[in-house]
Amino acid sequence: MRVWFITGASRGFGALITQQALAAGDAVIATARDPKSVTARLGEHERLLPVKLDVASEEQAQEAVAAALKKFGRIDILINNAGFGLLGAVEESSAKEVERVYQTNVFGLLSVTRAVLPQMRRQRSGHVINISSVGGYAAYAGWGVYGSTKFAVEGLSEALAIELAPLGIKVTVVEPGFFRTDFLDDQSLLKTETRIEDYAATVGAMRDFAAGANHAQPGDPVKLAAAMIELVNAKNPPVRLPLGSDTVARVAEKNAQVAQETAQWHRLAFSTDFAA
Amino acid sequence: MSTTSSKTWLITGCSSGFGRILAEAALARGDKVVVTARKVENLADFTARYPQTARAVALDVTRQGNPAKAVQVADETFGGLDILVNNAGFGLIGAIEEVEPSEYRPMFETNVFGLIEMTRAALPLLRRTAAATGKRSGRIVNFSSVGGMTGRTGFGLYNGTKFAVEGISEALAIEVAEHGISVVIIEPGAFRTEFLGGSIAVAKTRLPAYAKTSGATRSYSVTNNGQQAGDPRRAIPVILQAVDAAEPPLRLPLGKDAYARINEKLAKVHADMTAWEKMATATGFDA
Repeated sequence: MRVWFITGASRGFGALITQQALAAGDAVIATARDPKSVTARLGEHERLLPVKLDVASEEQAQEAVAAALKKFGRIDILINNAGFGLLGAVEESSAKEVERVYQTNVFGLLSVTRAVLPQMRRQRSGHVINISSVGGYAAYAGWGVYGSTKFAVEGLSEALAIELAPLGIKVTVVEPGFFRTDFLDDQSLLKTETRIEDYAATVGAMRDFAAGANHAQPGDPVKLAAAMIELVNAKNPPVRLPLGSDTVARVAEKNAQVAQETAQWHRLAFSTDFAA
Repeated sequence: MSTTSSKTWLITGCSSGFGRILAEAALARGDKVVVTARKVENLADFTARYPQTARAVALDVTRQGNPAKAVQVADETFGGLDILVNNAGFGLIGAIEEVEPSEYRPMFETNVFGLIEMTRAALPLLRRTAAATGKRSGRIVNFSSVGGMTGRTGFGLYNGTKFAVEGISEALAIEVAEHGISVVIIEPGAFRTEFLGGSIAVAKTRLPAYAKTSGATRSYSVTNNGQQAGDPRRAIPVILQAVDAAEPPLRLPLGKDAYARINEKLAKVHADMTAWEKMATATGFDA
């Protein structure tokens, strides 16, 4: 029986992964800012421990881990899933809005990870799974600041993978494309207060698109949750796992763009070393 | 008659390193530069040598109001702004588990939030100037790093900030393209600047578990300081060429090491994706 620690477990990916983990016979510490919402969504289960956790609180992260170890004695899989989007142009995003999305998506992820790692190190085993986004690999108009929080998660995860490998702990960054969750709901998505007319063609259009795409996204979150079971069962999990045809296409597109630019400019850029 | 092609720059972090050398090169070729640093006394030589074309402004990108003030100087002194260079930033060494919020938050404040605030403050003037020239002449030059494309043990939080800069820059590029502004992300490999010297921060906590990984990076940073292969002076003509190009690249890695590591990263991404593609593309709702 494996023990999962899943943040943002009262809905969306978090809730669905929790369900699949329980169905697989595993135990789950399912966290949410209001643990009652976990019970409301998932019911009660002897292998399910709902725990209060606002990832922005270092203290709550430590307490949640302590509660997890008290009941189950170990943590095998950490799913850093709690997070939300910010929709608006870079110029439209206020310092406060930027701070809010970083507080949860980046700093919160770090707090929870630091709280869990000592146990995984004691075990010399574990799997840290950080939920990023297609927008964490290649950015879109209107999603720059949100995307940058996921880019940040990808960067630190790459370093983390190298640091944890000798300790028997695996790291995977999961990049979902557009999946049918509450991500675009008014109650989840933060939209910038400022609207600048000059961005109507790009960001304005993206706002319209998002409104129309809400709950019509092509990705099936149940299938993503199933993919997580396959991921943790894999002998050699990847460091990066794009999920969704849209993501696979976007990643390939970005890689091709980067390759093309490096081919164009590399000769010049090789001239920068000190003379031998 | 004044040089119609002379540009107006605003550069952050001009005390040393890339910021200083780039400011010198721009001034030497006849451009106008608002040179900035947290300590304005470090910039005295610029205004002494270029009294007509250099203006020195105290600028801490993390201080509310500072970015707007510097932009105002560009507007009032030079009547516009063509090129914003977001260069101010620093690194932090330590394993992900070792670094504390009091250590990495200030780095995010400078490298990410400060960059965003500086950019937001400059955009109205950048847009206005580009519209007036009608020549797609605006540039936002954001200093990332090879560490903004690929993570490295002991540099994880720094990687986080530079990956973030890349994400912001990519979206920004799409958003400002129609307003005559191009975004260029500079990705230096290891260059001989203050990055590993006076600028670097190091995590207080050292966990034995990370001795071979992050610990090795700590040692590397000490022995490599001042020994890096990259010469920032040689990088400047390359940066200028990219910035001056009618169609600048979105990304400009600098140095053989940067190219090698970026190509390695692309190959790894491709390999991971190929191995899992079947499952990854089967996650859509059934038609």
